[in-house]
Amino acid sequence: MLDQFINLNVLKYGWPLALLPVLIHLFNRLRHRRIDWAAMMFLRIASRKSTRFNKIRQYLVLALRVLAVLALILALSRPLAGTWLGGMMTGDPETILIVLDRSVSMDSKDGSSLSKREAALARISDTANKFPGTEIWYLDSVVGTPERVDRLEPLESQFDFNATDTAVNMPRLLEQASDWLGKNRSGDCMVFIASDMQEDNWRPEASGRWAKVAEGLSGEEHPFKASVQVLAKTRAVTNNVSLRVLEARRGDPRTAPEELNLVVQFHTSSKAEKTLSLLYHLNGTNVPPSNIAVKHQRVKVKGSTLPINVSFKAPPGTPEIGWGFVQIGLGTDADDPFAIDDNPRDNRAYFVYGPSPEMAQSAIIGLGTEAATDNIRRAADPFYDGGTNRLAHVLAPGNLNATAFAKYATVAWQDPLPEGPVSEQLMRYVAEGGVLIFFPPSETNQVSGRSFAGMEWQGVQAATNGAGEALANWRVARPANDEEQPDGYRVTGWREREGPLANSQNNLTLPVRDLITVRRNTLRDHGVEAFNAMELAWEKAEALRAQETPDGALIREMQKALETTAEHLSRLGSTLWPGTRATDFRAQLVDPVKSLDAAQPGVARRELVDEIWPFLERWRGQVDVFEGGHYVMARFSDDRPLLTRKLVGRGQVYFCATRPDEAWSSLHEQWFFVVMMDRLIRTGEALGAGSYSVSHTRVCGTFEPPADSTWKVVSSEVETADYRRNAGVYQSEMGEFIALNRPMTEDDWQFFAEEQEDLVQGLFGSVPVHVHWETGAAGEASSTDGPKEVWRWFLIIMAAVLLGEALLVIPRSSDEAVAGRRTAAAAT
Amino acid sequence: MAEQSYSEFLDGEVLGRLMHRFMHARVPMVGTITGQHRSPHRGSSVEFAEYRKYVPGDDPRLLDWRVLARTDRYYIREFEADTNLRNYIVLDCSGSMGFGRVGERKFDYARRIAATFAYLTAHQGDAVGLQCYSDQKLIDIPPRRNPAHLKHVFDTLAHVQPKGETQLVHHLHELAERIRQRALVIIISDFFCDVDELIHCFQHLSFQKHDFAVFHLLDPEEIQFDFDRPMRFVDLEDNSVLLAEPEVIRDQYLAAVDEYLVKLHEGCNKFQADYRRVSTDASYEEVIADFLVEREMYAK
Repeated sequence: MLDQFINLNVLKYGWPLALLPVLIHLFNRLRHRRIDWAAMMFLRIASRKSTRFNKIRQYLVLALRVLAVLALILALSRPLAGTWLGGMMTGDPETILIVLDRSVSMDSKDGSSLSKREAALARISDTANKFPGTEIWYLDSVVGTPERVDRLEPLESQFDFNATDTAVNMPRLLEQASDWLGKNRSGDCMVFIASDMQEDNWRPEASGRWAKVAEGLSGEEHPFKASVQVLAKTRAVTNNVSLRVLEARRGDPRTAPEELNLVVQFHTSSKAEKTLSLLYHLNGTNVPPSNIAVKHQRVKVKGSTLPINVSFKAPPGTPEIGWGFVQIGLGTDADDPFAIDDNPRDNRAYFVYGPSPEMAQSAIIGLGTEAATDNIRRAADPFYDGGTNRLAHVLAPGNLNATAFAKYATVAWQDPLPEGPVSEQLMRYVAEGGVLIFFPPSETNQVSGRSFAGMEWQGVQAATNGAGEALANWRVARPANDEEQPDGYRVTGWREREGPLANSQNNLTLPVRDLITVRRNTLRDHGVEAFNAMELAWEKAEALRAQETPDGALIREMQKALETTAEHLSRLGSTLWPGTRATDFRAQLVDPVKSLDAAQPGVARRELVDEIWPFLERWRGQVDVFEGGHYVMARFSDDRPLLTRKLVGRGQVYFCATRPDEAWSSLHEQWFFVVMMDRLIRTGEALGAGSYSVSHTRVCGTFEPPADSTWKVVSSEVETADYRRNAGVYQSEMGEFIALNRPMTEDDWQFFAEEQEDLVQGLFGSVPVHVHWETGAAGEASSTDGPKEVWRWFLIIMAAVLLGEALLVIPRSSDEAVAGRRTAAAAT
Repeated sequence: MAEQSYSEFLDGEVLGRLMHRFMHARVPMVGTITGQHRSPHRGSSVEFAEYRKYVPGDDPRLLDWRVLARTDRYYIREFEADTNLRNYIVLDCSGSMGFGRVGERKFDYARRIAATFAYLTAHQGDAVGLQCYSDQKLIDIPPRRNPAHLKHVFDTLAHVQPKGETQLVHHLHELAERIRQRALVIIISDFFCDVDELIHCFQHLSFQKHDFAVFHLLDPEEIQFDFDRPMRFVDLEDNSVLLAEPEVIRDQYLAAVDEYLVKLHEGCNKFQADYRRVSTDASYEEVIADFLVEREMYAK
């Protein structure tokens, strides 16, 4: 099977030459030469007798000539067939850059005793020896910059090829590769990628970065010509169980202070039930089995399980804050790393535990001098005779850069919307399960143009009295007697079934209707506006396509609508609308549409329909998700929202349109406000915010501690473990623990299949790509031969075809007999 | 003889080399005068033929007195008669004779042969005539012996041109009927006509006891048919057109030619025609010389 052509352009532009024999044939047919002829009687007889075979023979000869030319073109385009690495070019490439995927999943079983990573490494060693005249460089996600491979030394001694507990951002890695090639190399370059093709690592959705990779490797702006060889080690992993500790905390100090509670989740690659022996390790020693219930020592799992709560008795003297890990299997077998399952790397999960959160903490961000700040704090941390487990901190908005929001269950913000690093910090906090509520800033502190998660405060609206004067505070809006309605904005509806204003457990309705509001901020959702603008652009485009005589005005309106869309989308923030996506949106849709010439609507429409339309459909689908991007939890009588909720990641963001302030509303006087804040805090707790375990657990490879801090591994047998690539528990010089575990995506066994080769090739654009798929069951022998150049075969085919053509066109024996008889007759 | 004006078809050197050859007839000729060819009748030559019994009415002067004296029987002594030859040269002047790509036209070649034979015939004192046919009888010059007649023949050959369709068969039948006495008939043509009718025609000539020779002229290209591209063939006789791809029909063409030649050759053998296939790239001198040599051998 042909997978790739080294000189693809020869094939791309040369294949029409295969039609040359046909053209020559047709041309000759058109070029009848006139001749005065005497022996017409024989000619007429011959024409009558011209057999079908002769015509077939003629067409056969023509077909063979076409085949011969085609074979020559194919030979010149240097097709590659089959396999991986070896003997790919008749002339060695000048540079080979080997890119190795060292993610956790690459440690799964490949052959009988090797992991996929080790098998790939063997191939790489093999390759290094196959190209004696080629410079070989090596790159992986840990190395960062390509390093020269010295073929004289064993490859393993030159680099650290050991397994990591990280994921791989393949597009970013290849972008580094293309940048390096562009700056340092010229001539023919081969990029060899060894990967298990895990979708989360390859990130096909990162189209912007992939476009850069394709552009960089195409060498259009550089003096090198690159081709890509991918060793896709996608052999099925059929016998594997991974585990993950979702949370770890000490038992309730009042009821079970000596207990340690873990939430463990298992994930299996098959649906068959398995019984697993678990090893619990705490602060450097294994927990004795006597402390653990039997059902927690041997766990039965089947498929992906719901999280399991595991409790055991901590040994005496266990510190209040500590670390540990849970491991499948009671030990490792040095002789057979796959004794337990197909990937030993995901059989251990590290955790850091802390005290049971007696206090649910919340942060109030606002000026301490403002009454509203205090009102919110009091609602979040209400006074109660018996005490509560609520604790609220008031933080000044001006000094939040180093604030670790993760320990707070809820953050209340009553200041102009954040921007810059604080905004990004808060967005991360919410995405990881935090609850954030925004109150409008005071009238004197209003700042326009800021948005968070696409939501933006508009101007302040003040309710007026009968005389048209703005009401000074909510108290003046109160009615003279109970039968009259108060002035100001009235709340008429709210979500009673769920959310912070839901009815009580006894189904008692909160008195939200009693809220008197005299001032409020209106909200603007840029996501919804982007959706609306995109829909407008779509309508204009469809109208333009349907018009018999295209209207230039429609083009201008479409251009304007798309500009508006891009503008609104840019306000969503990098979490909801990442920068790469924004770049792609502009490059693929906004700019091409902008370049349409409205003065030539016919040409513009053709270009729109032929070239831009697929992108228009695609991006319409992308923007579509922002329709109804927020939920109105409570609304005023004029349908303006009082409380709005927006979901971001695991967390929630609320926008309350009024402030608990005398000049704004009676919110702070309403007891439902306390309930509302309490529910927000409880929601934050449930989502994981505020948990010591959660806040001290990170994904390996993404942990970026302050530059001046040092972190040492405490959980590993290997002292040289590096938090950038090895999972484990690390401790700073200040004594703080951090548990690093493999990325969750590495437990998700979604791999590209061979059927998706077009998708993989599409990622590289016009760069020639050969993917060698190693599929099938683990342990199945695979060919170690390289992809062979098969141009010689095409030359042989061409020779055979030409021979066949010659056999058809030379006079047959019957012709010779005719000539012979004629000669004999002439002799007589 | 105005030799200069006949240079198109007469070559003095060729004639000079061929003049010492004598053109014999393969069968006894019936002539009106004494000549150098055998006659079926007894005559007054010096060559003894046979004795026969005297019958009343015979000239008593022919009695062999010596035999009478010895045997007392009446015998008459007879001698061979020698007579002259009348040579009818039939020249096909149909349009197809105008073809010629390799060397010269078949017609030009045929004229050389005809003129040479006419000269040789007249030179050995025999009568020569010329018949030119196409779709109609163009020329009919009866055989004469005098040199002035030869000039008439050459003048005719100088002016005649090939045109029209072939009606050779019809004219040969007519000729066979018209010639009352045995004669030598030399037919020069490409014979592009129905071969069965042609053989029937030869049968007619044979039946009339004529000695006839057939010079079958063919251009090499007509035999080889070596074309490498589509051709528009225009018939030289009726201007009809045939588009053909020679590569496709070549085998059939050659097979048809072969079948035709074999059949014609067999027909000629059957009716004692002196058949000679002549390729126009061959030397006409050699062709005529071969013809004369064979005739001489036959006469011995």
